[in-house]
Amino acid sequence: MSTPVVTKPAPDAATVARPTVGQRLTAFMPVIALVVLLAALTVADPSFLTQSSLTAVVRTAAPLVVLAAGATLVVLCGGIDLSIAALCSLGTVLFAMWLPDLGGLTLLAVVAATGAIGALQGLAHVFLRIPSFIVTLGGMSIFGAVALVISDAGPIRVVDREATHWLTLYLAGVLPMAFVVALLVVAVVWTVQRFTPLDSWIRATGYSESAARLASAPVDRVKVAAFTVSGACAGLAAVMLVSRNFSGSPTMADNLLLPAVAAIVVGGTAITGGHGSLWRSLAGALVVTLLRVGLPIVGVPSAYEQILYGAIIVAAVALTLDRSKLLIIK
Amino acid sequence: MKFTSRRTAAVVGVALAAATLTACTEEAAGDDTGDAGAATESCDPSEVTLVGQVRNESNPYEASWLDGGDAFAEQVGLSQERLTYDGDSTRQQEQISQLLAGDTDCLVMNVLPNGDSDTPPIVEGAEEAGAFLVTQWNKPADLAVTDYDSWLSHITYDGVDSGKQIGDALAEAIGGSGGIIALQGILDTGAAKDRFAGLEESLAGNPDVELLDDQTANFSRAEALDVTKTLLTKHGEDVKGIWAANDDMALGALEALEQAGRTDVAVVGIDAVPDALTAIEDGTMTATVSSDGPWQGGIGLAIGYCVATGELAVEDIAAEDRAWYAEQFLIEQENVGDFVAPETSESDFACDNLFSRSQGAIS
Repeated sequence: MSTPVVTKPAPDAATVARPTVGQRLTAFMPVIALVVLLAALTVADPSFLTQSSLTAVVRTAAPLVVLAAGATLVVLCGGIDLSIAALCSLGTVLFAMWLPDLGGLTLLAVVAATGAIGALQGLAHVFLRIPSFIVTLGGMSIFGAVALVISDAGPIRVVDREATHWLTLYLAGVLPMAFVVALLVVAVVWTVQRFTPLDSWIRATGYSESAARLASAPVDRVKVAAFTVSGACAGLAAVMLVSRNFSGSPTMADNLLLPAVAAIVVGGTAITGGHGSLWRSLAGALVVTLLRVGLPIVGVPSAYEQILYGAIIVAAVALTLDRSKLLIIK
Repeated sequence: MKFTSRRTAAVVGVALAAATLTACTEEAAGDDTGDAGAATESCDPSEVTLVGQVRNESNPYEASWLDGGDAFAEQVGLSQERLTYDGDSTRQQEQISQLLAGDTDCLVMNVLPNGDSDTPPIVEGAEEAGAFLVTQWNKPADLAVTDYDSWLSHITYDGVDSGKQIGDALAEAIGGSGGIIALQGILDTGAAKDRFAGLEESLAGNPDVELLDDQTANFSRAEALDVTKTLLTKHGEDVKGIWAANDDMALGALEALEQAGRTDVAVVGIDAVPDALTAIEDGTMTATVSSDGPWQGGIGLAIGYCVATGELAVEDIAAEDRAWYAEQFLIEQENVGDFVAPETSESDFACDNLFSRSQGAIS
């Protein structure tokens, strides 16, 4: 952690503190949780651990990874974006409606549109000084309603599949292209963040906004940027959903909101902001996807499925949370 | 954190480098990407996997569907995997794609697609994996079952017919003349449109029955309560009967009648939910229509099982049996006893008797 803002005062700023074994272990916890869960599912049903089965898991996980990655930025800034799922549903409708006219450009158009909508929410949050929770809660219901109205409240089928065909391919016969794109998104956003002052600004904003302002970090611009990326990610996730369902629908992604938030938290990103990373959300999204598709497939009865899901999410958060980075639990 | 990030960055870097060196493929590689048209080689009966998928086990009709699937599975010495997706289209697709990533050579699926547009990805996934699929209720009209080898059959019910059956039962109950009101379902669904068209047919045959008013209550019990209260106030004693496009709305209407102290109004619905059957037994409700959930749960698996084990060849299924209307049953007070605890009979699922309930191909 090379950020200037730390929760414990460093004994000597000049020496770089080496992470202890415990700290290293905590950093790897999301991956450990993932492996443990996979092992448990394999014990329950040995045929679950096959290459084609894992391929299907990462293919399913792709939209959730992208959604969670975008929203992670907002969470790191100390906010929350509740509108991602509704915006993603709206994105699927826009994609299905625009595809006949725009063809190959539809993907860019949808990502640009949802990015702009995200930016708008960011601006409302920053300039009207409305809590992000409220802004995006309003956004959630507005986007859901807009999607219903423009789609005539029903799914729109996508007949021309050429534009999304590439997303359904498999790299080297194993890696679904949608998941590769999701990895790329995480890698690119992380790289940009890592090698610019953005990383420090985002963390500073998340840990203590007032301190960040005093240190003259561009807090407002950082927040708007985070909401923009979050919106754009929702648009990209929408295209992934359309590529696999062959239709856009005003409620298609609505049920992905809680899994996306769960993915962020299970990854170990603090919901209060500051501490966490996109890689953690990637691991978290895989854990959540494994739970969503794995439990019913290995034969857990549906009544117990929800109980197990809830219990495992709480247990996973207990494992992955780095308590040394959290002073307040809200 | 720096520690993790460097490692992951390195891994991703290597992965991306490897990726650029390899070509893309249409299908995931794997040892069990079964070939389409797996029907050429038949499965040993003990190797067949049976899967039933519905929205929700808390819905009594859908729970009885899965119970019917269990009954069939027991009959052939297997067990059924019960899947539910909470009425969430995305979740349904995720479960199906995970299922199809496993061993699909002898996989039989009896699926209730969440909506019309959810059927194409399920069908194409099954076709690619060579799994045997039967779908029920929802399918886009322009999707032809005969274009596929693995999609064995699609079963649905003629809403016009059920709407007419309960319309006629209602007309009879009010003595052939008088005013009725109609509670419509979600207007944008085929089921609501077809059922109301059935009522209009029935009205044409019963010229003395007058439709005083028709309004939508969106298949919802609570909305039906409000709508019925309003309509009862508006039309008062003129209302002799209430036609509802499903039982939930009929039950809502019954509540409204009870609150208004009216016992002279006949009520009909569709679906045969347990509360409606009780009401028919008590005599407070006149009629409903049953699609026979347990039979639906069994028949889809039976068709798949017969094809998988080679007792029936896909080519031998007549085109009119690939997409068909199944028989539905009008339930009134005299026969309600047969439906309170519905049971499946083994002969319904025999390989030479699978399509005996067909009322004709879907036009």
